[in-house]
Amino acid sequence: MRKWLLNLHLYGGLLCSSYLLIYGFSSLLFNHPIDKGADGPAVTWEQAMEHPRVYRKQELAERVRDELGLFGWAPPWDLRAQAGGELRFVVSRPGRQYEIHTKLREGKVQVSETRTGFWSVVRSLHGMYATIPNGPWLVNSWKYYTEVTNWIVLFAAGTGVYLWTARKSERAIGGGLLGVTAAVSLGLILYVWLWG
Amino acid sequence: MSMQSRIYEILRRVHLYAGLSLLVFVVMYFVTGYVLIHTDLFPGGEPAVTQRQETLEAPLPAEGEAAFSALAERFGLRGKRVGPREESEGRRVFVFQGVGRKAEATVGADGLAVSLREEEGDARAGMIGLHRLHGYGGGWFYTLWAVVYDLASVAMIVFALSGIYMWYVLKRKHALGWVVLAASFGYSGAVIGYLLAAK
Repeated sequence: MRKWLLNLHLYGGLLCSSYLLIYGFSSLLFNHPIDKGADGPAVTWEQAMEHPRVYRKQELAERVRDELGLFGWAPPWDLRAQAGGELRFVVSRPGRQYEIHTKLREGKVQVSETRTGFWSVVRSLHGMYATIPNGPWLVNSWKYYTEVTNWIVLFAAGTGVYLWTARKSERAIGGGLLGVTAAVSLGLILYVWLWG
Repeated sequence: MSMQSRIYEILRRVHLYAGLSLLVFVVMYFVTGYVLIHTDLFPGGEPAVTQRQETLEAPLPAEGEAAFSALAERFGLRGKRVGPREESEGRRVFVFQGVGRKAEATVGADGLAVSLREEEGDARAGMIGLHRLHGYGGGWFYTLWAVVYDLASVAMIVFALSGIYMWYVLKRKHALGWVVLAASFGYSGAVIGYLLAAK
């Protein structure tokens, strides 16, 4: 039994090791933001496009995004109507942000593309469970890795405690450490939640 | 004891004691994180919002921390202190960000008129609040929380790297481990690479 649990702890840990590194670095970035802004200057390009013949603003924005071959979210709060039925909106996804100005009366769309950089991508992957519109399966399958890692870590926490108890020489010191830190941690959590 | 054995033993103890020390926090983060991402299993409701207008007996102090303390004492406001944020016409906004709750006090230029907006969320909001609480400042307690948050973050990195080392030393046959590691880093690398490179 112990050998089985050790192997599951070990190989489960190896399987989620890259995600643990992502969790660790992204959490540090949340606590210590290094806002470098864009990773390099924005690149502007244009693409010819006929009007998709949809007129609800959100629907038009999403059709234009699709016609451009982009993947990402087009949040409604970043969508602005312009004169002549044109739109200015944003498409964003981990790694890129696009500011899009439609000039459909002229038969084109103008895109200002900004790279958000490596650390921005790492931060975005922290627990990412969403499906990115038009995203490839490679990226949208990340949610399954998130789910698997979540369960592996909880399992590893339990098996880790069990494996520790197998070593008699470390039970006392480990037990004392666990007792004290668990009490302090629970106290901290309860205080912040109930009284903070 | 060889150098490899010595390093193994040190890393094993670091892995073990970091795990025991931060067990409760790590489990808390993964449980609350699960609740956060699974809106289907844990649907939340809208927070209960109350708004009211109040008048202080004396003008609020100009200094931020003193002003926060005065508001907290007068209205029983709790939470991580964020701000104050300066707004138009000399108004100042003081935010008390709690776990699953939030209070926003907008104080007029005269330092007397206060517009209070309080939100109280449900248990799901509380769990998400615990998960998302980060950043130094806002009170000594929240600074302590940020320190433990940092330790838990570093622990993730330590668990991964020490775990990889221990696997390599512990196991005589590495084929299966290499396949699993390749799957893990290969997939993560491919996703990151695609997001950086793709149009």
